[in-house]
Amino acid sequence: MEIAFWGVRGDIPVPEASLGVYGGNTLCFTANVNEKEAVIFEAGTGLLDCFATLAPEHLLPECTDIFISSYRPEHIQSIPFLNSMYISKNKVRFCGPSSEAGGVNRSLGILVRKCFCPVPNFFDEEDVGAEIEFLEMADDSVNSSSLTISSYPLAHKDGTVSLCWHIDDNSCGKYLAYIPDIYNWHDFMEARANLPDKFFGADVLLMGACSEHTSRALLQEQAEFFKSGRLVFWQFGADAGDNVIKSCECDKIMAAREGMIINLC
Amino acid sequence: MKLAFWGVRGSYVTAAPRFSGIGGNTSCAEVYDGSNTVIFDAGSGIRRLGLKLANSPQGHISVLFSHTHWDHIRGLPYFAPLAEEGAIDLCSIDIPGIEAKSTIKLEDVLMLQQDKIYCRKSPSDWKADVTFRYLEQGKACDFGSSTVTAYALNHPGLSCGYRLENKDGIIAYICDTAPSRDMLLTLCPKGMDAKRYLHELWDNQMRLAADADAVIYDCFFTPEEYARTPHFGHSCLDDGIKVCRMAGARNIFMYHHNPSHDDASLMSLERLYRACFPDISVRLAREGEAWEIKGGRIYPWK
Repeated sequence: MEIAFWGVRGDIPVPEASLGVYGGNTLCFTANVNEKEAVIFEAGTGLLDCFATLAPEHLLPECTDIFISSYRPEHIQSIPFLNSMYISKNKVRFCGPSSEAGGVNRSLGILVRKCFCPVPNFFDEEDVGAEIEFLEMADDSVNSSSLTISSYPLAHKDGTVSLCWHIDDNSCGKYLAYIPDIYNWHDFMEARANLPDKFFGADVLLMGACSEHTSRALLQEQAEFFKSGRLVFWQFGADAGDNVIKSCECDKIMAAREGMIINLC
Repeated sequence: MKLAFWGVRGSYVTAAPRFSGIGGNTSCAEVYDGSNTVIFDAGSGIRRLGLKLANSPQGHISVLFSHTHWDHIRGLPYFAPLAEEGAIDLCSIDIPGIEAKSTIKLEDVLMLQQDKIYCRKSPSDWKADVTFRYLEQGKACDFGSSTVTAYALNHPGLSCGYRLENKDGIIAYICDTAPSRDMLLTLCPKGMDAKRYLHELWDNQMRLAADADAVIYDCFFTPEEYARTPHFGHSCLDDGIKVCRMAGARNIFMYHHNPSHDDASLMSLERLYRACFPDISVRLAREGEAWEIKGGRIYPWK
């Protein structure tokens, strides 16, 4: 499994950070991309660069799965601007949680509401754009490429839910555990005890450390608690400069950066 | 008065080094007349403007929205003055004859943007005293020592430009707009003929830019790009120059840059148009640059 990071920022893209170490695009990483398949997590602005590289003529691999953890901007904001979504030959499957707005289709629909975006509504209108499937996930598993991807809902105190992901490479038995949207460390430390066993002992643990109170000590504690081989953190706030991010890094704790590739197998 | 650009990009933020010279944040322009601050649009560029205003207040703040497409509202949840005590006006246009059921009010759009499903920052966290103002089209409204007049523009949905006037000069903010020659893209007032309304929208551009010292214009396309996608709702610099010539405006800022136009291509366009149209002063709007407008002239802000 090859993990490639295309955008690592939370909330809002930060163009000025593109001149720094970590990058300014919002969330996107891929796990296994080739001519036939693409397994993608998050659709922040990093996905625009990903698609420009993956599909320069806007034709996507036959099986393109996009896994969405939640509907906050950094997870979905690129979707209306993906030229590939307007090509009828493409097939894309969006996998994500339900929300108070409804299933995945209804939840993503805000992106293309007329008041926000003048593009055709490729979610609702069948003859517009790519063939789109929606898969609602909670505590579920799905196969994509040679991977088995399991989700688990992490409830926040405001009543919203983010999906955590366990990405298992069946070809080599290694796995990545991904826990997004850690807005408040105190709340997370209360909630993390409910996470199932599959999030422990991961070869790589990826954490969405968007709290402004993220520190090296907190991340080290997470690595010990989850018994991960390596801990990678991302989803940095817009105001988090390179020095602040770097101060959280140490042995086996690494900040994700645009262009970074991790080979698990 | 000071005119400063905090976001000059259209459609979506471009966060890559090849865009960093001109800028990757989406639409946001600041005008400070010495006592009050007027901000055109709340694209992602408003985040950094807000950090500056939180440290160095500039009087009452008004944010004037041209429309509510993502690139013009993206930054509002991260606008720091909303979390501080103070008065902020959030403004849009009111066009008589546009049926209420065919539009969503600015206030409702922003509340939806910041619904907890979609945003971790909530309007309930606002400490500022926020007032929503809907400016009647064509009517000059007071904004401190400036007046602002709004006019509808030709862009999908409901879009408008603003004309700001004070003792120092006139600024016209014309974005987003398609040229009013090919197709009507915006909502047409009830009972009005579409062709006639298209002419009216062109006249609106004239009203906005009449004798303006600075015209900030939607230059998303090159002429070749416009010919391929005229329904997208944007213009090219040729249209802006035509407006300036007919309206008596002498300075135009190319704005709302296409996310596919990198620094090199934009600077090449600027050079080309300066050479082709020496009667109009053509400048690229660049993120981080500020200008002083005084006595009908434009100077770099010091």
